[in-house]
Amino acid sequence: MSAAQASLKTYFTVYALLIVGLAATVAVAFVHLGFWNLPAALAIAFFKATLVVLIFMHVKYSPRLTWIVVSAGLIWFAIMLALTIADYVSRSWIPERPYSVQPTEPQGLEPPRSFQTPGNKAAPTAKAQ
Amino acid sequence: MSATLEAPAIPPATPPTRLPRNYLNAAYTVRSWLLTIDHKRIAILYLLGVTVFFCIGGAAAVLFRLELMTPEADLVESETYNKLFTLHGVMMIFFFLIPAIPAVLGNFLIPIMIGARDMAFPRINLLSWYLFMIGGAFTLFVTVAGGVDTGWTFYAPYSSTYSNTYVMATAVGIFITGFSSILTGLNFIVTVHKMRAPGMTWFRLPLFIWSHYATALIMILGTPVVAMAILLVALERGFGIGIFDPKLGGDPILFQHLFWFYSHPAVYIMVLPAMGVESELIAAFTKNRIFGYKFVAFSSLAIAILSFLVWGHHLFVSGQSIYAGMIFSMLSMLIAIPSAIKVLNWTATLRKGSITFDTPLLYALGFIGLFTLGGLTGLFLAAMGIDVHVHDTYFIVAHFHYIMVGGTVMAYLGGIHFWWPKITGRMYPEGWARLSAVLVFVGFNLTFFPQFILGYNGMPRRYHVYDPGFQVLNVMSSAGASILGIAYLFPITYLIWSLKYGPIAGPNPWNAVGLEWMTSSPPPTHNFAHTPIVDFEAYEYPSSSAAIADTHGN
Amino acid sequence: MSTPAAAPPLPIHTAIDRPHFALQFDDYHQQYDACVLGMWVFLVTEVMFFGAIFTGYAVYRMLHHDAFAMASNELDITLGTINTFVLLTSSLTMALAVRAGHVGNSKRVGQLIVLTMILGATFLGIKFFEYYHKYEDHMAPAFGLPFEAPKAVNDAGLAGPFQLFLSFYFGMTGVHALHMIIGLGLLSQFLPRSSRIAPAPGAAVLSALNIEVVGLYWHFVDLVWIFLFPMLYLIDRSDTI
Repeated sequence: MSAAQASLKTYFTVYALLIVGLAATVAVAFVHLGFWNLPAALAIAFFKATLVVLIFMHVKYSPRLTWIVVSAGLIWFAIMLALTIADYVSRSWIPERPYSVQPTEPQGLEPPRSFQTPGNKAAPTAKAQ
Repeated sequence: MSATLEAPAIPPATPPTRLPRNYLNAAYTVRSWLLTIDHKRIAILYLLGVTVFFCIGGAAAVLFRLELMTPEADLVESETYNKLFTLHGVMMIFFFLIPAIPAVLGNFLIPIMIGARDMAFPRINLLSWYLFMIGGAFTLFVTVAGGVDTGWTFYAPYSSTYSNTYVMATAVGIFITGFSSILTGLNFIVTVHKMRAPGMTWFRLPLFIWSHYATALIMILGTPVVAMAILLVALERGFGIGIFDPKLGGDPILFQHLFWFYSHPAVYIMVLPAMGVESELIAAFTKNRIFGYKFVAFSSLAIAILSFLVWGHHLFVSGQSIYAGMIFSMLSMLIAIPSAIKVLNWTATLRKGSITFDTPLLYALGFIGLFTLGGLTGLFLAAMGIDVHVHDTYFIVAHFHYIMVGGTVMAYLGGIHFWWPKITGRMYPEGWARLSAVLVFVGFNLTFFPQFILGYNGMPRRYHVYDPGFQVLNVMSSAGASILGIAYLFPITYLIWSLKYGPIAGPNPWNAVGLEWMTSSPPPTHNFAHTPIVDFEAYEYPSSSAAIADTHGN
Repeated sequence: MSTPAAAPPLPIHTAIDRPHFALQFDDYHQQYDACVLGMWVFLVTEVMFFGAIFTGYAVYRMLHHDAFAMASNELDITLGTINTFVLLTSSLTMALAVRAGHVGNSKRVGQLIVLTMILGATFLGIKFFEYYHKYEDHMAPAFGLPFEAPKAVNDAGLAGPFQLFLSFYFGMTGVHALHMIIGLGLLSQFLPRSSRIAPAPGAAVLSALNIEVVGLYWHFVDLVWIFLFPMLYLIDRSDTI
């Protein structure tokens, strides 16, 4: 497994690409892209990281197990990030009492409004009368 | 001795007058123990460590169960009570349940079961024991110095800003112990991947190895996150760097996310190894191959993976978004599937087995019942509607004790009894052992079943002054706890006794199949005289040839 | 993880004499694979370790975008860019050192390791200069040091989240710098050995393994910075021009 080694030329090419990536990421940061500044920065960072992982860290020449280990790290980080962010993004989505849109007239004994759900909206009582 | 299938047939003819060289009598100096890189000796070191921490955590439990005999605060003050349950939680979770089975039985057995001379990284193995003990020393210091009152969960901002107890020292202790856990998991993964003996394919591995592999995955992927969460609390508390401080716009719930990202999977760090032990015990005492070997093996991995998708069910009432709650609720229910697969397969293995009711099997049967009850109540808690009602009540306490004590501790004790002849070369006294197994089961149920009712009726956890109407059930629980406490002292006593007076065990006292039973008891330092060549399936008992053909035919 | 440079001393010596790899392994290849896999598994734990703080950062950046942008613009982008350049260069020298180790050129290994360490130390020097600068500007939110947000931030009522960003800045770069220091420690431990024991039989292959493993660690620290740099230094730079 130690046999396959990239040539010197490959290393210097990768290095040059990394420096270009650095220049690009700084340059792009000064261009007003609004929302797209973040994806651009992340894309360049991922590009650089992929180069380092594949060539400098020899993953390209490594057995499948190494690929699995590397992707496990990425996937689990993605799980943590995605499910956590999902909570923060959707917190503001709580609708304001969606079931109080059609108020029913109070009919005799019925649970207080706060206990009402779409299912028990005093429908049986109404039917009985 | 040849490592082929005939090996179990070799009986211990007569106890040899001079014991052959083994890992225990290889050297006697203290130095040879403290600087050992033999995985078996490190397992013994862990055994000593976790036993001490178990006793401390247990003592704290006894104290607060005594306090809970009466509805008033008469034995201890509120602050002391808070420190007691925190001490109990920290000790039991971080210093007993998480390391107990992997670090003691796993360390001892994994290299032997796969036919290796040692772990892949023996010195890292020793390092992780030292880290464990250093972390434990911090916690012991906290215990002596005055305790910590945040609960084992360290929720910010109470832990990061307001608590006036020894949060920092505890945090450092847990941080260090976390690295011990990470290094153990790393060692397991590399060992299972790279150190298997010739012929030991993945589907010939004992299920103990599969479940430890799954455990190691959780240790690797989860523990760093809690390390960072605790580090952030420590930074905020010690260095004044605000991270979770709501005054700055920080969000304390972020801490809960990071904390439970590890700490829910940590529950599976505790119970997956127990499931591995369970598989070994059931197979050995029914003389059957585990029914549906591949299903049980993959269900371990499924549990490990799913365990990372469910942490949000701890946040149902913490202000988490209701939509995130719904997703987490659904994902939490999924975990029941692989768990149920395991339970069903174990019971199916019992069928038509030649069952002998030795102590390890008693513990194993106890495990099945208690784990099932704990798992089913877990489904209640995964459902948001019920969880909102019973959140932070004794229902939760009862639920996770059924999993952790009823599951993990039962399996741990069963495993210790099962492999005790292998570890020490001596048998334990069977009569006493059966008695204590029954006592543990009875005491456990008496302690924790009333807590389900208490919780369902609304008694909140972590309160020591409660409505007098709850007293009867609390007294029952405390009575059960005292039975349980005494029942735990039995094994400690007779196992120590057996070190000197127990009958010599011989290499395979249970007539079980597996590489660990093919070497002498106790094993030599490098486990096998020659590297074994594995040409038999896992659990290849005479009765199970059909089952094996089934698995491999398809 | 510089596992077995020499076979560790054991209580009992077996008859098997294996000078070039540790006793628990069957052969050198098994040891090589195990050590490299071990390092990769360790790096996964590091991904999750940094991942946790990145998650926190992502959440807060989402909640307090404006304050984070203002605070990011307080960081010195010139020094940040230079530092990134330095670190990327050190990654190249490290990769070349690993390569030299594999082809058995131990003299070249020594030179490249020295170069890598100089670059690493330069990075840390610049980093601590930046820290000092922040301390002088009263923007170090630790130890109860005086902390003053700029007037524009205070006027916008964003002083709290502004401080949060700097907390993350110090926390993340601090943990990263700690990893750099550990990396330098690993390299320095390794430096004299790589040149000194080369003549011993089998030592060359061993040092190739050690360099490979330490190299993986060094590249990982570089990787973290590749993400830290745009996340910390480059938020909304365009709006300030």
